[in-house]
Amino acid sequence: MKITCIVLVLLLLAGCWDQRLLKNARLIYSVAIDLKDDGKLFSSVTIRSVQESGGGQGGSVPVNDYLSATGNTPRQMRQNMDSKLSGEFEASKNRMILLGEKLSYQDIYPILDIFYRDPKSSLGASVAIVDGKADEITRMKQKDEVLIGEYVFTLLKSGERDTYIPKQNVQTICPILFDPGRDLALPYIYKSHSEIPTVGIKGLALMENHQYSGVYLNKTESSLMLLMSNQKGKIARFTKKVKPSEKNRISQYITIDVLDEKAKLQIQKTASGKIRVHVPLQLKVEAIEYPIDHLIDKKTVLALNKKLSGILTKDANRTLNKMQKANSDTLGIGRELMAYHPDLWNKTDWEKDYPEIDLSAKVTVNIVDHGIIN
Amino acid sequence: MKSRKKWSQHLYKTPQDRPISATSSLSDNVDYLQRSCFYTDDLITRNLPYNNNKAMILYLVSLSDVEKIQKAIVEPLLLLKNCSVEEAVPVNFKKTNNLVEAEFALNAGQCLLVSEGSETIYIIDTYIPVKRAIEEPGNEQVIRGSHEGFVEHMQTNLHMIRKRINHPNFTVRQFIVGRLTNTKISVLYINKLAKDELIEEIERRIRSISSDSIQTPGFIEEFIEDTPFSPFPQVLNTERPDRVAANLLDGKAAILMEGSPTVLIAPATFFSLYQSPDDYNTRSLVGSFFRLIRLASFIIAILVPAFYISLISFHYEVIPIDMIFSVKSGLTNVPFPPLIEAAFMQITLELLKEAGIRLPRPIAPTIGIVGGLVIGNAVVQANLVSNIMIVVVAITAISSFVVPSNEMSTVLRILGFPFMIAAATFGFIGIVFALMLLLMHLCKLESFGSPYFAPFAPINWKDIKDTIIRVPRWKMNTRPKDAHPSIEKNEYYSREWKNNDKQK
Amino acid sequence: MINKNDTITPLQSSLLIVQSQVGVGILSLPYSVHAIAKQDAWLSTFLAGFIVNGFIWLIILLAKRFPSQSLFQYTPQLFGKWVGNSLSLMYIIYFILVGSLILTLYLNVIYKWVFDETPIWATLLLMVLISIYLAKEPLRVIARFHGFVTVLILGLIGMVAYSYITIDIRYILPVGQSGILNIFKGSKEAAISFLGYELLLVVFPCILNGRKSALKAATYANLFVTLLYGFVVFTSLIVFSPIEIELVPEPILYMLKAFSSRVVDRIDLLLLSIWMVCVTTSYVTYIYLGGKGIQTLFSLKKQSTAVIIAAFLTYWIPLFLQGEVKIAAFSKYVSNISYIFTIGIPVLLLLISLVFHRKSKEQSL
Repeated sequence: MKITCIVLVLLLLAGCWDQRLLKNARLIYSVAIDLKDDGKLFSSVTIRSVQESGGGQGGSVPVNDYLSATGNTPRQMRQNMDSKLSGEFEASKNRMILLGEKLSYQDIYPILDIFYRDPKSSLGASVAIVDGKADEITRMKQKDEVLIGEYVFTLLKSGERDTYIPKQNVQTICPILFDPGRDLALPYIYKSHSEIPTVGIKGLALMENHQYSGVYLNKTESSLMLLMSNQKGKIARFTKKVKPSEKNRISQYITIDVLDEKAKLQIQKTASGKIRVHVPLQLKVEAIEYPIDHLIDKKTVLALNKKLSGILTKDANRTLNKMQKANSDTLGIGRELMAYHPDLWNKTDWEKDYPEIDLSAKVTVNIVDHGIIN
Repeated sequence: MKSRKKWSQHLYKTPQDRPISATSSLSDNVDYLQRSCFYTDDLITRNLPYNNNKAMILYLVSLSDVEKIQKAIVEPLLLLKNCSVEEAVPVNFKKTNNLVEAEFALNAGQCLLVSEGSETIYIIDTYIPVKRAIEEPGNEQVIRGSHEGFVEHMQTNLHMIRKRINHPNFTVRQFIVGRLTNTKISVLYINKLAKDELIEEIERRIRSISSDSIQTPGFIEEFIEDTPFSPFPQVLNTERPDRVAANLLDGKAAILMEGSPTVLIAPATFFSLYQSPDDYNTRSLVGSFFRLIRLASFIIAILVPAFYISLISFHYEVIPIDMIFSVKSGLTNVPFPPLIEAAFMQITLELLKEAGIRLPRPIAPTIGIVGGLVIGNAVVQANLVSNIMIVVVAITAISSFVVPSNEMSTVLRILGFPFMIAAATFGFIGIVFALMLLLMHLCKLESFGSPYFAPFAPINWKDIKDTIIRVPRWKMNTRPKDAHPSIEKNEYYSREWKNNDKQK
Repeated sequence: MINKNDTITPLQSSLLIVQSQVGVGILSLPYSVHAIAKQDAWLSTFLAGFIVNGFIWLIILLAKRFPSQSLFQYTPQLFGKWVGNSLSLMYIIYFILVGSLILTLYLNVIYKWVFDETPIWATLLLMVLISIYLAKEPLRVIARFHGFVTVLILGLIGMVAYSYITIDIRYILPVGQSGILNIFKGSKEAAISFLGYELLLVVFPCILNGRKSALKAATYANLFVTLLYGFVVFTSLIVFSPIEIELVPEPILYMLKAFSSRVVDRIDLLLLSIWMVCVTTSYVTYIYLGGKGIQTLFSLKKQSTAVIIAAFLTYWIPLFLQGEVKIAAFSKYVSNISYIFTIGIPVLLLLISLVFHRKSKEQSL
C-alpha cells in the first residue's frame, strides 16, 4: 500500500522528460538528397501540413511545404533545416528517400546511416534513385491533386504490384547492402520535362556494391530479373510481337499475364574451372489480350508457347548480360555459391569473377488460361 | 475510559445479558417493561383479564399487527373461560420468565401477555412486515430469464432463494449484529457442497463485527473483506435471486440482511463480476461472444485514454501514416497538454453521470441537453478538446458501462486516471508498469482464501470454460474451483440420449 | 520451516522458471552469440539449452537431499554455522549482482530505444518499486503473476514470426561452418541468458510434491526456453545478413522496426513492452531470492523488509555504471561468477552431502 502511494506521488512529481508532442511536430513525408557540384550535399523535404479551409466545419486541405538545406552530412542538413522551421523537424514518419543520380554514384550507406541509427526513424520508407536531380521531384510539391510524396510512394507501391521493382524498404535493403554475395537493385524513377510534368518508373538501377553502376534495367528486363529471382508481385505482364505477318498492327501482339513462376539457379563448374550458372525459368501464363483468338487449338497454343519462350529467353539473356556488365549480382548467385558450394566460393574473388562467369537463362512459357473467350 | 464503559453498559443491552427474572406481580413486570422502553408513546398496554385473573398485553403498535392481536389474542381470551393460553391462542408463541428477553421481543414487534400471579410471560408472534412488491432490480436487468428481484424483507428473499434450491442441505444461519440496530443477517450455503473452512471463516468474521449499527450490506462488506484498500470489490453484490442461487450451487456463501435487497456473495472472483445471468439464457456461442466483449471492455476502459495520451505525446511514430495527419490536424489548436485534456473530459463525464443519478426526475432531461453540449461539437469548436479525444472518452465511457456489476464499472473509471498519469509521464513504459502493478495487485488479492484472479492466476485451463467464454452447459462437468467446493462433479452425461440414439 | 500454505503446483513452478530465465538477455542473444559462433549461433543456443539442463538435474539432485529446506537453511547444516552462513552470504551477493545486472542491461536498452531525457534514477525507481511490490509477497503470489504473464511470450513469438516475410535461409548455410570449438564457445555466451534456473536451490521445498515433479517441471521449462531462444536466434540469423548482424546489438527489436501495418507502426515498441514484463519477472525473482536469503541469514521476521534491503542494494550499481564498456565488463564478470554459483558450488555441496551422508533430517516427508 505504502509503495503504491510512493509510486503515485513519484509519478505526479515527475516531469514529462521525454515528452514530444505531436502538436508541435512537423512531419516530413519525403526526402530528396542530391550531390552539389562543390561536393556538399543538398537536401530538400516535403512537410505535410494542413490548411484550414475556414469555418472549421468545412474540413481541411492537406498541403506540402517545401524546405531545403545544404550540409556536409545528412544529420547536418537536418539541423540546418530544423533551424529554418517552426516546430520540430520530425523524420519518423518519412515514407520516401529519393537519391539524385549523381549522389548515387557514391557509396549510399553513409546517406542511409542516419535512418538506421535513430530508433525513432521509420525503416518502412522506400528508397529510389532519380534520373537527374531528386530535388526536382520534391520541388513539384504536388502532382495534380496528389501531394508529391504520396504520389511517388503509391507509384512505387504499384510498381511493386506490377513486378517492376522488388518489395523493398530501408530495412530490407540493409541485409543486401552488407551481403558480399548479393547486390541491390533500386527503383529508378524520372521526371519528364514535357508540358505536363509526370513522374514515372524507368526500371531498376543496378547497384555495384554500395554504389550505382550506371546501368539500369528497363521495365521488361526488371520484370524478368524479378521473376528469375522468384520475386513476382501481384501482376507480371508482357506484351510481345508474335505474329509479324498480321496486317492489323494490334493483332500482331499478344499480352500475357504470368500466373506462376519457377526459377532455380543451376550452378556448375566447367572442366576449365569456370563457373557456369544457368537459370531455367518456367512461366505459367494467361493470355489476356490476343485478338486473333483460337487459343483452344492445341497447335496454336504450342506454337505460341514456343514463340514466346524464344522471345523471352532472348530478353532474359540480355538482362543477365546487362547485370554482368554492371557487375551487379542482384540474383544472389554469390550467396547461393556461399551456401551450397562453399569450396567454390572460397576459390573465387566474386567482385572480379562475376562478370566473367558463364551466365545464361532459358525461359519456358506455357499458356494455361485465356480468359472467358477462346 | 470509565465513562465510556458506563455509557455503553446502559446502551448496549443484548438478549444474552444477565437475565432479570420476572416477578409474580403484574404491575412490577409491566412497570419494568414500560420503564425499559422509556414510556415510548407507541407502546400500547391493555388490560385483558382472563380466567378471572388480571392480565395485560403489551405491544408496539408500529410493528405489530393490531388486527391479529384483536382476532387471535383478545377475542379468544375474552370469550373462552377456564382454559389455558396454550389452548386459546391460535398463533405461535413462546414462554419466558426473563424480562430482558421479553423486552427485546417487544421491540421486535411481538405482543407480550403478562398475568398476575404468574412469572411466565407469553411472547406471541404478532410482527407484521411491511413489504413492497417484488420487482426486477433496476441495476441488474436481463433480457431473458427470471425478472424477480430481492425486496427489503429477509423472509421473502429467503423464500425466493429456497424455491430455486429445494434441497435439505440448503442451510440458513442467522446472526444478529449491530448492538444498537440489532440487525438480522443470515448466511446461506449448501451444506457439504460449500467448503467447511469457508463457512467457518465467514462466520468467524461476522462474529467479530462489534459495530453498534449495521445500516447497509456495505457495512458488512467492509467489515469482512480481505483487503479494504483495494479498488476491487471482493464480495459480489447482487439483487437477483437467480444469481445468488447459481453462486450457492458453485459452493459459495450468501449473506442476506434484513431491510436491504442487496445480497453479498463470498468469495467473489474478478471474473464472477463479469458474469451475467443473461449469458446462460442465450446460446453458448452468443454468450461466449458477449463475455469476450465484456472483457475487452475492461481493457478498453482502462487503457484507451492512456494509450491515446502516450501516442500523441510520446510515440506518434506508432500511428499509421494514413491516420497521423488527421490526428494532428485536430490537435493543432488545442492549448492544453493531452493529460489535462483527457482529465477534463473524463471529469466532465463523471459529473454528468453523477448529476444524472441525483437529478429529480422532472428535470432530468435537461442533463441530456447540457451533456450533449459539453461532450460534443461545441467543446471541439471552442478548441478546448480535440475531436479524437471526444471519441476516446466516449468509447471509454461506453466500455465502463458494459460491466454487469455496477461496483466494477465505477472501479474501471477510477482506474483510468492513474493509467493516464502514467502514460503522460512515461509513455508506453509507464502504461506497461501501471499494467503490471494492476496485474500484481490482482494476483495478490484473495477473497476468503480463494485467489481473486482465478482462473488466470493461478492458471487453471478447466475453469476458463465459464469465465472468458461460456461453453455449453453439458460441457461444464465440474464446478469452478475458485470457491474450492467440496464436490467437484456437477453434471454427467446430460446428453446421454444422443449416444442412445446412435445405438438404435 | 516453509509455510505449508506457500506451495506452488508443478505447472506454476515450470512457468516460474520460464519467466526467471527469459529476461533481459533475449534481445541481444542473437548478437552476442553470433559474435562468437557466427552463422552457427543457433546451434550454440540449442547446445547451451542442453548443457543447462544438465545443470538443472544436478541442482535438483542436490535439492532432493534436503526436500524441505532451502539452500540458505541447509548450508549451515552441512558446514556448520560459520562456513555455511558465509556461503549463504555469497549467494545473497550473487543474487543481488545478477539483479543489478538485469537492471543495468534493462536501462541500457530503454535509454537506447525509448528514453533520452528521463533521469536514470526515475526509470530505475519505477522498476524497483514495482518489483518490490510483488517480491515481498509469498511465493505462490509471485508464481501466479509469473504464470499469467507467460501468455505474453506467445505474443513475443508471434511478433518474431512476423519477420518471416523477409528471410533468406541461405544466410545460415552451410551448417557447421564455424567449427565445433566456436559453437561450444558460443554456447558459453548463450548460457548466461538461461540464468534463472538456480532459483530451484531456494524454492524447491515450496514445489508441491517436489521430489517427483520438480525435475519434470524444470526440464519442460528449460526445453521451452531453449526452443524459444533457438527460434529467436535462428530467425535473426536468417533475417539479417552476416555482416549486418554485427552492427545491431538488439536484432529482435531492429527487425520489427521496419514492419508497418495498417493499424500500428513500430511493432518494436510493443515487443519492447512485452520484454519489459519479462525483465521485471526475472528481476523480481532475483530480489525475492536475495530477500529470502537475507531473511534467513539475519532471521528477520518480515520478508518485505528483507526484499526491500535486497532491492535497495541492487538499485545503486546501475546508477554508477554508465557506458557500454563498463556495462560489458560488469556483464562479463557476473556471467563468469554465475558458473561458480549455478554449478560449481551445488556440485561441491552434492559431493559433500553424498560423501558424509548428510541429508535432511525429516526423510519421512
